[in-house]
Amino acid sequence: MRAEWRTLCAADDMRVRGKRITVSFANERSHDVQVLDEGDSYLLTAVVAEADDLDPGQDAARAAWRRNRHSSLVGFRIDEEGRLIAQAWTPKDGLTPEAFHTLVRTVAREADRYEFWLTGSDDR
Amino acid sequence: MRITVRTAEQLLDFNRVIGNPQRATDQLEGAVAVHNILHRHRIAYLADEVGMGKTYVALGVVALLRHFAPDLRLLVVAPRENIQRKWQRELGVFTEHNVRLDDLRVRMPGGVPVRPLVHCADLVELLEETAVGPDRDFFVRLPSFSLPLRRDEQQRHRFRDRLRRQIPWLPDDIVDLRANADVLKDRFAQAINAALPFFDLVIVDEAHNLKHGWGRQASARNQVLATVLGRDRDDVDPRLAPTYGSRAGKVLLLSATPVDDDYRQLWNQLDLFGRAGSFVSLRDPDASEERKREVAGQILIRRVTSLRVNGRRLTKNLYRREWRQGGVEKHDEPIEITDDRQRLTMALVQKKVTELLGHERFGARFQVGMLASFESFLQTSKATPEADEETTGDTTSHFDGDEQVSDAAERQGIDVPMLDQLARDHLQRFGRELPHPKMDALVNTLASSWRDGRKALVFVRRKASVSELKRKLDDEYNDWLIRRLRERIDRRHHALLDAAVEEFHQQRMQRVPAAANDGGHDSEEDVGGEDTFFAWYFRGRGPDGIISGARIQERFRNLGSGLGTFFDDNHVMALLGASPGQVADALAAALGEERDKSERLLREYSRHYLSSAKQPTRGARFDAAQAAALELLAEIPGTHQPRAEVIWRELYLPKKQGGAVAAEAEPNLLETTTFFTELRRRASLRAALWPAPASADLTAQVREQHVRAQLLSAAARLGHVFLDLYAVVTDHLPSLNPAQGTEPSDEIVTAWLDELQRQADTPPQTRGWSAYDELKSLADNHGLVLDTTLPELRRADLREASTLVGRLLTAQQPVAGMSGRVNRRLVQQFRLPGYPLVLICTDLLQEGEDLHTFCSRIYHYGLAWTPSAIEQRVGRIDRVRSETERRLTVPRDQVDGEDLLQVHYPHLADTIERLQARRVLHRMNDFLRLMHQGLALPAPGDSRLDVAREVHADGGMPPVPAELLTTSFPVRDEHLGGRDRPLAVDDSRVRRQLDRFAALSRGDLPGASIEWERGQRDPASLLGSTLLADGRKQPFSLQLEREGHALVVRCVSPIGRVERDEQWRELREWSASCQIRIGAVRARRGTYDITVEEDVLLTDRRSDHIRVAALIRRVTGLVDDVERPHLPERDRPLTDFRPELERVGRHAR
Repeated sequence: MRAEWRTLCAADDMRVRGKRITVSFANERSHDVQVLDEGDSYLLTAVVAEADDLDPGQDAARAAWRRNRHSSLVGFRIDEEGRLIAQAWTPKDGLTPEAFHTLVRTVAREADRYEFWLTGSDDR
Repeated sequence: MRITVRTAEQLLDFNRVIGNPQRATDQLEGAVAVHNILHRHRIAYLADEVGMGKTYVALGVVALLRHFAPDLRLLVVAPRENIQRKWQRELGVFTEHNVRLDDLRVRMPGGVPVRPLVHCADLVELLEETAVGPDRDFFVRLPSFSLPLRRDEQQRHRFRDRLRRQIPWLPDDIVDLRANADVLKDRFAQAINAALPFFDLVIVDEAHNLKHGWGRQASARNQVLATVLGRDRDDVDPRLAPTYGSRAGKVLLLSATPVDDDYRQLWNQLDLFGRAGSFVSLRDPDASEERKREVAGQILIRRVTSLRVNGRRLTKNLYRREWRQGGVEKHDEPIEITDDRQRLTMALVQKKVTELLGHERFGARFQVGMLASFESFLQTSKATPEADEETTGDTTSHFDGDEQVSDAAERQGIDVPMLDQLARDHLQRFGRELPHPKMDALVNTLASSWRDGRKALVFVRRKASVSELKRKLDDEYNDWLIRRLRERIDRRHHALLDAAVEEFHQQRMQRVPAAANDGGHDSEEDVGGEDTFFAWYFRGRGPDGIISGARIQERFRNLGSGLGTFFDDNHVMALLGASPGQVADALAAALGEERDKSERLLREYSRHYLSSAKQPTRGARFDAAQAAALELLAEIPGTHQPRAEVIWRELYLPKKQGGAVAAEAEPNLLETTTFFTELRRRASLRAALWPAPASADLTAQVREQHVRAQLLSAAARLGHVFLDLYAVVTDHLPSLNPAQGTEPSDEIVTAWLDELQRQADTPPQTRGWSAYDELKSLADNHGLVLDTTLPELRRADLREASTLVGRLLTAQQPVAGMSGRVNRRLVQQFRLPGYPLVLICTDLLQEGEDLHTFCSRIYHYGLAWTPSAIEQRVGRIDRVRSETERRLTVPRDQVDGEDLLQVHYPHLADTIERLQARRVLHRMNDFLRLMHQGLALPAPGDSRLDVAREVHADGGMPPVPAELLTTSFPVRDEHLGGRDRPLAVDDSRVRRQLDRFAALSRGDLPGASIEWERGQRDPASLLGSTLLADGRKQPFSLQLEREGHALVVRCVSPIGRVERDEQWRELREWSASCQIRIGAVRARRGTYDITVEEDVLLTDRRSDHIRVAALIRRVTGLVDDVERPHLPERDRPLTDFRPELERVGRHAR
């Protein structure tokens, strides 16, 4: 069973625009999640912080990797532009709307939490 | 949703460890009541009497809440670091024993908690850890809320900088260190609040420490705690106001002594968390006491402890025997002063003290703690402030607690200069120390400990008293030990022994007395010392020129020595039921081979268990022979196979190396007799010291037998038992001269067992406390010892068992002193039979630490002022499964006073101290009346004592109430009213989920070629290696986890260790272009510190194989992508990573 992702994200807290889903939270914050179709799987990503927002004195990649040991469903990495990215991966096979919702919300929530930790604000 | 007891008992079984159905019922009802109170009021107070298992009830509440809401986030605030660690230990024990099912919400298969436990050393670490992963259980300690901002500049800067790293967006002026310390603390607390996640449940242990509440009269620590947790306030900094808010959902307060003498103190504690609104009557002076009890009883429950003794129920006032008249020898009689010198000294000191108190500054009133003479007449040095604010709060170095005296000038002891002068004069004129009858009486009493093995816990007020008492007791012990050795050891050794004793005395006279009373080193290495002849002669390196105890001890440890295998077990001999000399034949027969071939196979197999050392030690070869024979037996179907496979898997499989070395083990090593092979042949002795495990499960049997063996052998080598073992060894040495002494022979095994048998056959009264008694006590209480002191041994890699046990039992001392900081090892040793027999401490150990397992007597040598402090102290030895409880609850003909729990208040009659003791005991009675029904209420206490008034008051000591106690705060019917509901998941559903997970290793995983590991114990974990297209093999683990209500499978594949900065840089650069989820292990020990990990949600069961196959392909493929270009030589097999990969479950990450 393989469903196209747009058919999987009908939910009150999710708004789809192009390849992007905006997830709204109860505390009036929100975060954008991008969906990348990789053929057999989807990769969901969200920008946590731009390179300029990261402290150059800190090893942001290593901090993110340490966080990855404890996070569930979502991971973090520094991309080629130096941005801090949250990402989750899922095979398309067997993907249900509930599982997709869980994944999208987890990426948005954890990216938002990390963003707040770094900046104290909600820019995404 | 409120629940019923019927619902809760489906999940929890409180009786499993304690074996006390009534107590278990109380605990279950307590957990349900607290659960329901929290549901209704969002705050609850559990005030059960000390030792009733409040921690367990609280953990039951956590389990109930989390079972129905698996996302529950928990924060535990403990009063001190040792108790913080105890909570973590207890959570593991509770989950394993008291949670009935592996629901994957509270408990994972194997009995481990689902959530990882995080120990935070301070608030910045709490911030850091919650940022890394908030969905774990966090443990902090109350002193961390003091914030180290008052001391030196560097410390302030360091703290500020650490805080900024965790909250990088903090505006500069908020962390401007030029602000006043209180303002700064408040701002920092608000900032911490902004960055902390919300905790669904906050547990505060020993919450009476917060009795001064919120406001100007309260400590800065209280203000910080309340602010960090987001207490409502209208003066938050405007820049932090948008993020400031409550971080505590439900709040559970725990203390056996919630108030001392006023319900206002309870209101203060509720108010600190902003939850006092509905309970204003508690602070209303016009409200009746009945009204206050009624209001408090809505949220507070307290049960009284009782023991059923010979069919009669006894509450604590009846099963404790209090020595209120001050004596220590004969019950309810004062200390007798027979010596004229002592009598004169006391009269002189009392005269001086009375004159001092008559000074206008004091007006004949004094505060508890301000007089040093109650404890010691020795010279006392001037107080210096503690370096670390966090460890002691705001006190100076004479005390560990904060309620002894409130005036800094009095802390040193107002009588110290006078005493110093008296002591100096006495020493100059008479050439000896000023006698202190109270201390001398106590020392005389405690000196019987090493004769009868009875432990004693002594609380003092002043740190200096710890070292003084310890020194005097050490002197007594030395006299006893040296006499005992001379009596026991053969005459031919006396000359050398006497010389060693002389050398010891000389060295001891020259030593520099220890400045701190921290109980000495807590390191793994035992450095010996000069405190006692035991430390000097039996521990550390020991003296030169004699075969000392230390030297014999070293031979037991040395695998090359003849004694190196003394305490090993010959598993093969036992398994085959063979006698020495017949093992090789029995092995050949079991394998169905000729003996030559069997021996050839054994040699060949053994080469995989030896190191590449040219000449492996005899001990290493013995081990390799065992491993090889067991592996061979595990391969051949037959009666021996199941047991051989388990022993081999638990003890030897992890040691097996892929390649064989040149060295090999000779088959005749299988004929080796050891202490354990011979103990098996002595049925009664074995039953007493090393009983056969009762479990029907083979793995459990093997594990228990091995763990028991490790405990027995470590106890025999490292403590009081070793005195007897050493004596037996010396019987077989021609001389104690190292140049003449030969290696002890095999006959020592028999001689040592004969000695133990002789002791077993001799009544203890006629021979004194001996090796047999300690070893038997250890064996009889094996489960208790593991639960209270070594819970990790139940699941540890068995190869680590001897190290864990050895580390615990090393560096034993007959008398331990502790102040300033907790020495973990000494505390743990006190929970075991044997040394230390006496533990002297300040109120450092007053709260939370369990010392009850083998101790039934306590001495309030330095009397605390508040009933709560005294009750907390007694509570250390009055707990579930205490020695007293075990002794009293077995059927017996009669109970006499000696059988009860002994509580001593040593003091001298006709002194000012007696006035203090009398006031304190009156307050104790008042406290009992306040917390129990039908008793009059007290007036508020005053910690100053008016000497004139007290002298003229009725002189008698208040008696202990003689009636059964009944609580004023029972569990009410309304607390237990709820709805019966089924568990969120039951056994069958969990089994289906585990079967579903296990099925992954059985069916075909599309596109993945996998070799699964055999014989894995944890049903929520699978280990395997996948064969990649390029021929490399990549190991990985799969873990079954849970995210909210959904099941998740996580795949972790290790890359290895990245050691150089350059490698880290390369990895960073490479990973930027790759959508890879790298995991970095924080502790840089072990075989890997970098992984790739990813997880998938399980959806429809029919999709499991295809989804998990995709997961494995992705993770192992990405690891291969990293390793090929960056770590080309790193293609390592699963066996290299196995022990760590087995532990990557969520609880252990």
